Amino acid sequence: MTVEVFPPPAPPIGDGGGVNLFLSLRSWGLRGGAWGVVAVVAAPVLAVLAAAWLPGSWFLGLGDYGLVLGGTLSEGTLSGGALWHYFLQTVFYGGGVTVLAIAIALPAAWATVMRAFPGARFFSWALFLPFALPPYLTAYIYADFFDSLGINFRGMGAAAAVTALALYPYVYLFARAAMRQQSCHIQSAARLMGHSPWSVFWRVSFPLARPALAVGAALTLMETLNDVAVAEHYGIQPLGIAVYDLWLNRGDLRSSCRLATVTMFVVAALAVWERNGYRAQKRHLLHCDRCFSCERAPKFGGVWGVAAPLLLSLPVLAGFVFPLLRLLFLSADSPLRFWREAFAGGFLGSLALALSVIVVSLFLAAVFVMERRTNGRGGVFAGIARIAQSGYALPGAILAQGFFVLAAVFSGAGFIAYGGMVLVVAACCARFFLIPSGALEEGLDKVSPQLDSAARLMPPGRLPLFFRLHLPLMRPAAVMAAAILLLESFKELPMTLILRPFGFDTLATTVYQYASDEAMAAAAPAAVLLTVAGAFLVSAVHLLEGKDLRGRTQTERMENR
Amino acid sequence: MAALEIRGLVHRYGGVAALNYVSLHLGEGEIGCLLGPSGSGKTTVLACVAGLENPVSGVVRIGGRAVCGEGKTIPPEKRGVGMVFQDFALFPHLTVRGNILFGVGGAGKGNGKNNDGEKACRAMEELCGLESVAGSYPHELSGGEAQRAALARALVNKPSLLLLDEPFSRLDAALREKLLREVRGIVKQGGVTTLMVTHNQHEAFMIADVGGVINHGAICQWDGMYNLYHRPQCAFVAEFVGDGALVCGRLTAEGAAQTQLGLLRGEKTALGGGTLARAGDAVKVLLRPDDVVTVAEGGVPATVAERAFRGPTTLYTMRMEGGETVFSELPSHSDFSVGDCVRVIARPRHLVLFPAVGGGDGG
Repeated sequence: MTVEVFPPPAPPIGDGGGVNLFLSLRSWGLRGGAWGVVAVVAAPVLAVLAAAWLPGSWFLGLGDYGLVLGGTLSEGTLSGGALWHYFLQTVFYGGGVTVLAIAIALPAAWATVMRAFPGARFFSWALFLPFALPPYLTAYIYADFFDSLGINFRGMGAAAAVTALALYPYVYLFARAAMRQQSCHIQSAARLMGHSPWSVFWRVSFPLARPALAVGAALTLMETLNDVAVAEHYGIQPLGIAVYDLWLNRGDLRSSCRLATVTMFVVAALAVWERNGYRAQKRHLLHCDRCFSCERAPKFGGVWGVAAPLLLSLPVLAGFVFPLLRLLFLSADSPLRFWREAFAGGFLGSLALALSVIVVSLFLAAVFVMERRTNGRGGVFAGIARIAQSGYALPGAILAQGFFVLAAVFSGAGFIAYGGMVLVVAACCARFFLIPSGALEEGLDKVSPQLDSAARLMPPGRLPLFFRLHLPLMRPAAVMAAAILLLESFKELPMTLILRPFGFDTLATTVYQYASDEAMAAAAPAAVLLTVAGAFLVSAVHLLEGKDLRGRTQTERMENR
Repeated sequence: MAALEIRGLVHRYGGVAALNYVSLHLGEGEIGCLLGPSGSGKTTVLACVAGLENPVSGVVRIGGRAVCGEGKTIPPEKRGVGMVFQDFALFPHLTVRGNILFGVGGAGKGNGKNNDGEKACRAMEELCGLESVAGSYPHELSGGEAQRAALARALVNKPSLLLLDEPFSRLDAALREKLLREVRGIVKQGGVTTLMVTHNQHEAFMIADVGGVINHGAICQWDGMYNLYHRPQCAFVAEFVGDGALVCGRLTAEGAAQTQLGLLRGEKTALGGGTLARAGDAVKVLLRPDDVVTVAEGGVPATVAERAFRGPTTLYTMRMEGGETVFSELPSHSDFSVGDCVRVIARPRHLVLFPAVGGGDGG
């Protein structure tokens, strides 16, 4: 008998060693770009903190304007009582808006996702339309309308109501997404365990959507802190307007910056709350097959079949149709010169701003996202990424303030007068950075990292992997991001208002200038353009999103094969 | 009295026929299994039984009580049916215990007030081996634990009928066998009548007492598992259940079949397809992999077209002259390579014949 002896296993082959200089340079380039983005968001925050708490004398040595700045910083009029007042106003205003927004959005999301009724598809789109109007525009229209009836429509309740009408789509968006992610099996399982549809809603659908509602509510609250115009017009004083008012109307930059510091604490708390919401929702997202019966929601029975469309049309009518009709009615009498001004000044200005923001922020986002994909997402960079993406949480007035202080310190007043466009674009990019970076990242995340490996194993093409693989894959996400950026840039108010160079106007600033002076007829043409452009963009985003979802369900089906 | 009786079930999804007069019945405590390819309508049967879909026509009786049809539609929460879903559908915001208690008495809140419910829940945790994970959330569970939690949740209300919708498809093969035995044990211990659907015949063989094959919304054969494999009544069942090749032949007067592999005869001959055939008619002969063996001399020549190593055995696909193929499962020590020339003979114990569709010339 022969016995075969197997040879011992071969020793592992050592790493070839050596560093590819080009690769490491490229990697450092990406890393540098990512840090640059962080600096754009972090710098204004640091500037605000410095202006709030450093002694004024520190700024005296920093050029001509530093002298002026240092002078203004010596005073400070903010009292504890005033701070408490602003804080309470913020709580009432933000709380009122959030409660109302959830009251509109939650039933709307449930009905359009979980039930079938005539016009369900129409409403799932139409309920987003009020998002076309920025809150201040809705506010101006209703104030003006009630004034014309001789009713005084001002104060906290009125402000909360009109703002909720313009902001509920935030909550609707997240609630809807959360409901769509719930596997129909979850509902079926609850039914089979002896629960009525009503009980299933309260014990399953609602608790599962709660983290998403928290995210929507946090965003709504952040927007109410961002607002300046509604508060000003309705005579309320939450933190957002107080920062603006102390600085620009009363010339007390020091107190304003201190108030901004307080506001940033509130924002940070909101951001933590929001992030927890995201995390909880991810945990709730178990794998779901959107099976055939998931797509077939049960019909509304009896009275509800008629009542549901009627009830759902209320926010659309009040938040979009009525304001648009009212604007058209007002603008019918507007002299031609307002139309010309609205188009030549406002519309083209908005477009120029939006396009600059899109180009700059998409480029920065692409660098940022590639850095994250190639160099990993753990460690220091994860923290940095979070800072870079958190600009959206900062109220626009505070960002503007930070950039203003920076510009004043580093370049003097001349820059503020003539280079303001750079500041506006930088501030918008900082505030909106989550939109392009989030979209691109999500676009790339859908693509398994194995695809990178697969592409690398194929014969090398003439173009780098980025152009052959990542760019085409990111294109739908980039288009989506561009549409949202366009919408946000059109609606943006406090930053543009504060930082824009002399003679530069957007639709938003044109509307603000006239409407805040109660000259609604003069504001109407610009407002009509803003609303129509907004409605178009909202619809485009909705359409793109639907396309995206269809694509995703298809890949999911393929996975199931 | 049958524990579950389905008669003439018809269902459509927006004009597309999903079920076409489906009928079946399960005795008290029996485990039945519907086998079918994806899209065959097997999950729709479960949805109609559970009340998640309302069939166009047909009757479903659970324990003698009509739950749909005969002018009645009982909502799912009142049917007393437990169900385990393919994705388990555990409530992600509740712990395992919360999930199990969810349906107890319609309102188990887990606060100790519902003592009977708590007791039933504990007993079910013990039965399903979930004591150690009772406080965990679904995302913390392994596949097997999630499976057992879903089963415990479905059984805690003592349902008169348990429905299993491909409950093992998400689990890896090693775990699947273990869980199949466990689930069968748990279900049999409780004596719960069970209907399962799957596309995996091995699951069906392991768990079911009776079963059927469903295709295009119609059940081809509702029978014992042995008969489904050894006495398929139609060509679809023959090909879907187990590996097998259909070889062309011609029926002889004494009930044998003349094929390329020579005259084949078994101890018994069965003719599927529900039609009569006369001597000389073209037929298809079902040959299972264990019916075909290689021989040193005699037989007919064939080449090895494919081989699949299975450990103790190897499954070969043999191509004969003229292109017809047969499967042969041989001990893996007789090692042939693809392209090798061998000689094969067929020795079926039971001859299973089907009428050749379109009256082919019988090769």
